[in-house]
Amino acid sequence: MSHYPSYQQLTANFDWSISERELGYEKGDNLNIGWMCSDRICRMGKADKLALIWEDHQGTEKRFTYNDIRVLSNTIAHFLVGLGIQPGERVCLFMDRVPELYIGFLGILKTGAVAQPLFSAFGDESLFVRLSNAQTTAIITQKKHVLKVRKIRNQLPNLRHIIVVDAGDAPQQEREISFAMEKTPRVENFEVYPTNAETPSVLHYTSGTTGQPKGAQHVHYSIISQYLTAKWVLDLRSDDIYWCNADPGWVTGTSYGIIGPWANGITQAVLDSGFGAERWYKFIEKHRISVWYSAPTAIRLLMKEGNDLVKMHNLSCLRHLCSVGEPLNAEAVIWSREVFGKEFHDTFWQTETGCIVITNFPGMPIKPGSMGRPFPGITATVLNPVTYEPIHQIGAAGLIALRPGWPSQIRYYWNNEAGYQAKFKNGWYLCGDRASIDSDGYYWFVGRDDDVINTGGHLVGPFEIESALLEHPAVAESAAVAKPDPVNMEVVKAFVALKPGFQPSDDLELEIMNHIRKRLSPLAMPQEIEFIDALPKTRSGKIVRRVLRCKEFNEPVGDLSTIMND
Amino acid sequence: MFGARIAGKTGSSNLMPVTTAVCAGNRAGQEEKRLIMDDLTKMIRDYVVREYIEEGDDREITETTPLISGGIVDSFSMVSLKRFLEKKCNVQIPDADATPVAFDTVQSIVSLVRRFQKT
Repeated sequence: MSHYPSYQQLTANFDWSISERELGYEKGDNLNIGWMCSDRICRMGKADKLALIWEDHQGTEKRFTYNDIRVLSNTIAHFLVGLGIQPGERVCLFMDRVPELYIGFLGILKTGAVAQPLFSAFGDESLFVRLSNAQTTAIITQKKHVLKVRKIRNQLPNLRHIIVVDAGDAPQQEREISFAMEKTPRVENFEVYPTNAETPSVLHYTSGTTGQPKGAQHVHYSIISQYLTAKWVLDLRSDDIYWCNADPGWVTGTSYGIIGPWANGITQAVLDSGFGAERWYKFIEKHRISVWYSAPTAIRLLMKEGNDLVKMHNLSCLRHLCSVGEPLNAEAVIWSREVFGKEFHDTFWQTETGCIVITNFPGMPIKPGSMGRPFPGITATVLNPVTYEPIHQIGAAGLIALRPGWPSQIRYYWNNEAGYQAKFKNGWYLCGDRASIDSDGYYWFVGRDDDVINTGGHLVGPFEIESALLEHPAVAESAAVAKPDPVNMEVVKAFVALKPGFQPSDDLELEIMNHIRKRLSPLAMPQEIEFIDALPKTRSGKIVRRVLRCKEFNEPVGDLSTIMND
Repeated sequence: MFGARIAGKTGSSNLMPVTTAVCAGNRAGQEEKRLIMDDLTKMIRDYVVREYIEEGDDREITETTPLISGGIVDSFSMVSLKRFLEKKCNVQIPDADATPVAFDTVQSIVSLVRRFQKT
C-alpha cells in the first residue's frame, strides 16, 4: 500500500496557507526569495548542509554549503549595491550553468532588484530584444559570452554595467567590470532589501504567436507555490540529492532549479555540460542522485542511446523521476519503467504559471501519455474555443484554462498590458494548449492552440524567426511553422521565398540555417528550409501559417474562407 | 598540429571548398590516406571554429575537444553540422547514427563520415 496521501486527501480542504505556514510567512510580512533560500535555511540549523554540488564537463567539481550560498549571495548583493543598482532595476544573468548563476540569482533578489535570466546560447539579436525591452541596467556574464554583449551594447543606453565573472586580468572594455565571486572578500552580513509578497522578483521572456517575446513578471510570493509543488510533486525529502536538467535561462531552471529545491533545504547537483548519455549516467551514479527532473527530449535521446548503457551503471539511487517541457509520450514512460524500474512523472506548466499546475503525483497511478491531474489549489478545465465555456463532455478536446489567483501566476507582461489581458477569457487564464479530460479527471495533451513552436520543451515564436529571416539578403518573405519530430516533438521549419537574383541551393539553405542559429539561438534554427515561389496569404496580405503547418502535420486545413478574406 | 590553437577564422560565410579527394574515399596508399584524413579533419575543425565560436573567443578547438558535452555545439545545431557534412562529403548519415556521442569531437565526426563514405 502506498505511503503517499491519495489525490483526494491532498485536495481536500487544500489552502496555500499550508505552504505559508511551512515557510514561516504571515500575510504582510516581508518576503524575499533570496533570503528564504539561503539565510532561512541556515537559521533552521542547516548552515553546513550541502546546497550545491557543481560539476563541469571536464569533471571539475565545486561544493557549496547553505552558509556558502548565504554569504556568497550577500557578497554579490553587496557588489551590486556598490555599483548603484537600485531596487526594481533589471539585472540580467547571461551565463552557462556556473555557480555564479545560481548564487547570483539569490544575490540579485536580496538587493530588491529583478533577476532576468537569459539562455546563454542566445545570439546577439535574441539578447538585444530582451535587454532592450526590459531596459536592463546590468548584465552578469562570462568572458565567452561578453563578446555578444559587446556587439549590441551601443544600442542599449540603459545597460550601465557589464559584469564579467571570469575575466581575470583580461583587459576590460567600455562599461565592463570584473567580479570574481570566490576571490572577493566574503560579506557575512547584508541587509536584505525589504521586499514583500507583491514585489517583482524574476522576469522571464516567453514567446507568443505575434510580436517579439514577452517579459513574464513574477513576484516574491511565487515561492509559496514553488516550495509546495517541489515538495509534493518532485517529492523532495531532506536526504535527497536532486538534479534538474533545465537551464536557469528558462523558467524550469529557476522555479525548480533554484527556488523549489533551496526553499526546501535540499542538496542539488548541477552538471554544466551538454547532453551526453554516458556522462549523465555517470553523474547520477557518482553523486547518488535520488530525484531527477528531466525533459521528454532528453529522455528520448537517452532511449536512442540504448538500454545497455543504462545497465553499465548503478542507478539504484534514483527514487523519483519527473519530466517537463512537452508532453511525455507513453513509450518514454514505459521505457523508464523498464530500465530504471521507475516511471517518469509528467508535469505540465509554463512560464506564466510559475509552478507545476497539472501533474502526476508520486503514488498516483500513471496513465502513460497523460499529463495527470490538477495540483491542489489549481482550478483547471478545458474550454470551448468559441464560447470559452467549460466543456463537460468526457474526452472532448478544448483549451486548457486555469482560474487565476494561485501564488506564482505572473502579474503582468513587461510593458505589454494588452498582451497580458489577451490571455484571459470569461475569467479564465488560457494556457494556449489544447487537451481533453478523461473520466478519471486525467488530462491528455492534444496540441498547441496557436502558431508557437514547442521544440525540445522550449517555446519559439514564429514572428521572431521570420523577422530574423528577413535580415538575410536572399530572403524576400518567409513563414516559420512547427514540423513534427520524433525526438523534439516539434522543430522549426521555414518556408522561404527568395529575392530576384537568388536561386535555391544547399549552400544557401545551410547559410540561412546558420544565420538564424547565430542571430537567435540553436532552438530557433530551422531544421529544414523549403524554398517556394510565394507564401499563402489572405487578401490583405497576411501570411496564413495554418496552411503550411497543416501540410507538415498531414492534417486537413479546414475552411479557410473567413481567414483568406481577412 | 591538432593540439594547436586555431590562429584565426576565415571570417567568411562562404563554405570552404573541399577537394573531391577529401571525401570521395578513393585512397591508394597509407600516405595518401593520412593526407586525406588530415584534410577532412581540418575541414571539419575549421567549420566548427568558424560557425560555433564567437569572433574574438580564444578557446582552443582541437581534434578531441568535447563539442556537444562541452557545450560548444548543442544537439539542435547538430542538424546544420550534419547537413554540412553530407553536402561537402557527399555522404548520407542516417538519423539513427547522428547521435550526440558521434558528434562529440572532431575526431568522432571524422570517423562517422568515413564510415559512410563510399569506398
